[in-house]
Amino acid sequence: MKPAPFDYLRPASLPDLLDTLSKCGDEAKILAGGQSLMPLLNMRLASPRIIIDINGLSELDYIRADADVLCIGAQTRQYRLICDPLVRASVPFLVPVTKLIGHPQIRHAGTVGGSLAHADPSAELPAAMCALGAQFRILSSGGERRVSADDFFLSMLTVDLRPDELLAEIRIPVRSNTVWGIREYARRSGDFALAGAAMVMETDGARLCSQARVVLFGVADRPLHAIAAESYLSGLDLVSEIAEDFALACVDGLQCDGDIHVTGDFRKHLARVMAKHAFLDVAALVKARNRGIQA
Amino acid sequence: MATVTITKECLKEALVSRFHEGQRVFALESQYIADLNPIPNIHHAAVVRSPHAHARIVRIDASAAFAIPGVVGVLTGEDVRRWCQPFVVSAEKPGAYYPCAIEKVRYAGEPVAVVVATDRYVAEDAQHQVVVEYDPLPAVASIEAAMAPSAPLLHEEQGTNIAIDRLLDYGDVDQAFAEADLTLQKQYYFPRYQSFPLEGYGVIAAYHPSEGRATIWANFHGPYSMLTVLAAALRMPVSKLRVITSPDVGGSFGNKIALYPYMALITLASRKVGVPVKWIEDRMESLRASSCGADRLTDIEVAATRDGEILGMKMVLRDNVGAYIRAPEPGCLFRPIGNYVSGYRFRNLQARAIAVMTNMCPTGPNRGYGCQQHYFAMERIIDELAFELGKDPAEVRLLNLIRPEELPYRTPTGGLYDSGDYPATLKKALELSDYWEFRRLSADPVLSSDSTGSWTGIGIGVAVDPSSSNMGYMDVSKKASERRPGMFKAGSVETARAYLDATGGITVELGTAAEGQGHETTAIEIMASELGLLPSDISVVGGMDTATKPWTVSSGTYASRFGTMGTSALIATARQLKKNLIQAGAYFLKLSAEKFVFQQGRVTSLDDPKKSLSVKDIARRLHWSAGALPPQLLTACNAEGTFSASDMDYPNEQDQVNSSAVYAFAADVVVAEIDQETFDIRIKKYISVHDAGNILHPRLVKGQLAGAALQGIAGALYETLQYSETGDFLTGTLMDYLCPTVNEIPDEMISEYIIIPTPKTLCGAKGLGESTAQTAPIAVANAVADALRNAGLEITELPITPSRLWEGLSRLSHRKQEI
Amino acid sequence: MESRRRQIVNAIINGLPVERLVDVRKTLADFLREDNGCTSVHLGCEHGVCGACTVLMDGLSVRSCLQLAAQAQGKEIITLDGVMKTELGKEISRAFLENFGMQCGFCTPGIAVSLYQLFLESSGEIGDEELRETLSGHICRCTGYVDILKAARQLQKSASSAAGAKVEG
Repeated sequence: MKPAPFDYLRPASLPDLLDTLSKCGDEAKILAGGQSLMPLLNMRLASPRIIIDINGLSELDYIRADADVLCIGAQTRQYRLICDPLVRASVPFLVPVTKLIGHPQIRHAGTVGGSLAHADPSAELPAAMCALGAQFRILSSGGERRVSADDFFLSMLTVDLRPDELLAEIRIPVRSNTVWGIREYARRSGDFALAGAAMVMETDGARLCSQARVVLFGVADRPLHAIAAESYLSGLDLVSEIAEDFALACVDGLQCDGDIHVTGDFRKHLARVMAKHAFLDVAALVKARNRGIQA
Repeated sequence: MATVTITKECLKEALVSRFHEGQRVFALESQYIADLNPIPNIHHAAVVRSPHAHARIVRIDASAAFAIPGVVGVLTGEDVRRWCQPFVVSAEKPGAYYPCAIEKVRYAGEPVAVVVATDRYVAEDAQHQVVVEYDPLPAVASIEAAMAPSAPLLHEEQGTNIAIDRLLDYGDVDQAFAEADLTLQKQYYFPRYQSFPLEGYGVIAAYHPSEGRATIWANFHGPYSMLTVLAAALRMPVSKLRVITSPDVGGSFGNKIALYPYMALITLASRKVGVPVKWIEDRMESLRASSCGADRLTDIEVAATRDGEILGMKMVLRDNVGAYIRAPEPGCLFRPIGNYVSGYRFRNLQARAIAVMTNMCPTGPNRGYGCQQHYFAMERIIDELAFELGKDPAEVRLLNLIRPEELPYRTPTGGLYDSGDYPATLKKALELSDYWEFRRLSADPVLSSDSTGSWTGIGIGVAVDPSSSNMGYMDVSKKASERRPGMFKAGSVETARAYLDATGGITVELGTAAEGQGHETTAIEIMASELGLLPSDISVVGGMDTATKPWTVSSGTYASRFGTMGTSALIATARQLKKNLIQAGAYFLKLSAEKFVFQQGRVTSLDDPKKSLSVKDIARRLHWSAGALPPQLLTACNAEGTFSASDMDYPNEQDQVNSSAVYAFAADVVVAEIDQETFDIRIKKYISVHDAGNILHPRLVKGQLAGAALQGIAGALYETLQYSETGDFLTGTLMDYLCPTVNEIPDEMISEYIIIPTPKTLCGAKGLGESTAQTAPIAVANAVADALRNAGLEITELPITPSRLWEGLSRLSHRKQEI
Repeated sequence: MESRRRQIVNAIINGLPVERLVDVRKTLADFLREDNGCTSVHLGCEHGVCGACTVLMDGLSVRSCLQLAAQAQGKEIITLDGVMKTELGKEISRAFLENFGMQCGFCTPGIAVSLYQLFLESSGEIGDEELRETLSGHICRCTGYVDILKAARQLQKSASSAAGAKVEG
């Protein structure tokens, strides 16, 4: 299982990279962490003419705050989201999300941008970014544009990125009074989820839900907002008693495909169960916070 | 958080306190086949494989491949047809099996051509440039499809996809069923999986045209009867084939037995291209085109009294052997023949053994080899029988298990169970698992409420675990009238050697090629304890080289035979060496040998303990003073011990054969918990009690049992080789074929032993490497069946997955709604 | 900047600086095995699942089958060869040999490297969950993991995290 021949480029700077992409992006694949691309190359399921290795671009490897936005450079290795103090302080949701990704070796090499650009429908980061209402900064030699996470994931392994473009930065609004939950089901720990639910809610400071972003993953060709569930929560208290109804709303109208591991109906059932348990985590967090306030 | 606790009965601590073979790994001295470059000018192969499950090969065009710099040659089916004969196999209607497809491909992944180049990267480039034109044919990818009346035929000349159809009849089943108070009939399915070793196949072959010889390095480990099959196919005398096992082999679990067709393929590639050729299998190749356990569809009927005594069983066994039935198949059907009744006393058995060919990968031995498939149906129906009779499954088993006073016991199928106490072994497992307490609690409506959010069940699996196959058992696949008279195949034999060096150190040479089982550690253990020496005085040389080491067709590591044959050969060798040392010591002290004993590394006179010589002294004299030695002491430094298993006869006219030399016994109890929401299956408790005779090295044994158990659990819950209806291979990578990780092991594991030495081996040890691979999947299935019994869901097939359980229960509740 | 099929790689492998010309498509695993004598790096799947090829790259465990050799440029790579030059490495080997935490040995180097990283950077106690998380990226077919856990737990108790643990040339 050896890759097919390719030409190799290793731009030394961002302008170099963008210039390269404008010239040959349509024949090239970007090599970031390689955790998704290398298996494809080794299996010869992908044989691009050019590989552009962007691992020399340290200018894309950063975590910083920009006013009330957490900015993560696309080349940030995934493991850093677990231990970085700024992430833990401003968007702590990313910690449990990242812990669900694969195994340590994968998180050491895989990049945040790489996972998002690859857009595996069962991956955690794409769903989490949709739940966070993140925005992506996309660069090309022609300039810059921003796309919301919701608009970025188009279908299976397909994202809103032209061949000459690079996903450069992930921008996550830092909001107060947020609670969150993520649960997934996999046969073995570290596997891609057979179904999962990621959710971020904003409260009034106590229990009332002012805004909910509920995203299912592993159930469709891309992360799926459970719109009915999101509206259902509007104006409700985030308490465990509504978990079952909430979960039902999450899968309302959902039709899933089966595969060699699960039938479509069972996947839908799992999605509901995961949504329920993620919501229970949310409710527990709300309860703990409120106890803290009262104390 | 889950914890793993292992307890075991206190066994004698071994002398060898560290894993001897492991030192090589940490000293960076391992040499697996991929690490070897034993001769100059090695080139590398990549195999062109069929994407189709069934197709005619219209045309192969390798011209584009040749255009790639570094490509030195291509081997195709035409070359194979010219140089090769089909592999022989013991089956009625086998179809011709070559190492490479000729004219037709019969499974997705079947080799079609071999490209040889300067390195593997280039070889793969060239592999993808070989253009093969196929004419696809309809495929059959299940037992039922292949057996259907109008099924497409894999081997048209055979007129059928059924390679073997043998009716074996023992006792009087009709009478048993007529007398029975209750009969029960079920159908069970046991799936196909591959307990693949982490290291795949590897072959380095050099064909020497000047002498028509070939040297093959490979991680092949026997049985060396396969060499006769290999040589015959290559149209070479066995003596012209030198097969050398790599110094280290990264596991096998039976799967590397079926390496021999690739040994043929790569040898032919070397012959075609004129250079030594190295082929290292990758994981995608291994999953789709190496070997795996056969899947089986069983129709089983049991006849019993209302007290639960089993009077007889009838079975129809349909094994899917894949596109070609290849040796050592049909071992899947017949390897367990001596123990077909497992540990139970019933004398009336009818088994119709059918080998079916389908457009899937050919099968082979996979740890447990035929036993788990066989026992699964029996153990499941025994549970169902118990339920029908209102009895506990443990009770029914205890009633029917052969009692210790009945051993040695000749089974109706010819097996000779040498030793054991089956009821005591099961009782111990029941005790350790708090089985009766579990039953009491489940029966209590208050205590067993479903408010825990999961269903819990307890299940039993027992197995008579055979080891050391009798070379003759395979002939039971033929009717008595069709067996070749005079061609008696019978028995199993093993030889070891020991050399005493000039300073009194001992080197032991093993004839077995290990794949991690600790043969070397065991050899040192045995020699050190037999000779009263320190482990550090003993060196071991393992591996096999057919040109320089003695071997017979029964040699090799398979059927758990090292634990019995290997260790016995070592003890025989130690005893021979002791004899030699006593003779020498007596001679040097000018006394009669009868007056001497060997103790604690010394030869000492019984009459006068001061008259004593150490091994060192004796060694020095034997080496240096050859000129002063009498003829009978000239070879005293070299000892050889051979052990041949007894009661290993050729099948008789009644189709009875003692198929294995020794029979161990294992009883497992599993507590399984199924989450009522996710249907995730967790093994809370895994208890295994084992009677493997004398335990020579407790740590090694424990490791073998734990490894085998997880492989059995994997087959029950996680690992299944899956194909579409049209024969497309669906589990082509490790992302689809789910191997258990550390997080999938049972929460609590207890393994204990009952020690009942066997008289069949010199050390009293029985083989044990395969036992829990047989019992674990059965106990898991029975536990899940128990857990879901009240919900009305029957478990009739593996694997058990959350999706299947949920679908099963959903169907039940829909049916209820309709009613 | 021109595209290329071959690339010079400068890296530090097990403490020694190396400079080699490689095919750009050659994986780091093959580069280590074939060009640097590190045959302890094993290939069990070549698609990032089994962990047998695990090495340290700038101190972090990675699957070398999923890295190009060219990506080693400017990096420090440590394989079992380097680990075994350290005291911690010797402790790891003792733990595995004494606890029979291995059988065929094929998965062992990758696991040893992962554990080396885990215990190297531990400033306090390594919990059971962390231990399992580290081991979860490795497939073993022989042992059923029970004795691997035993070996790892022995290290949990005794590993000297800092003393003599750095890999020097």
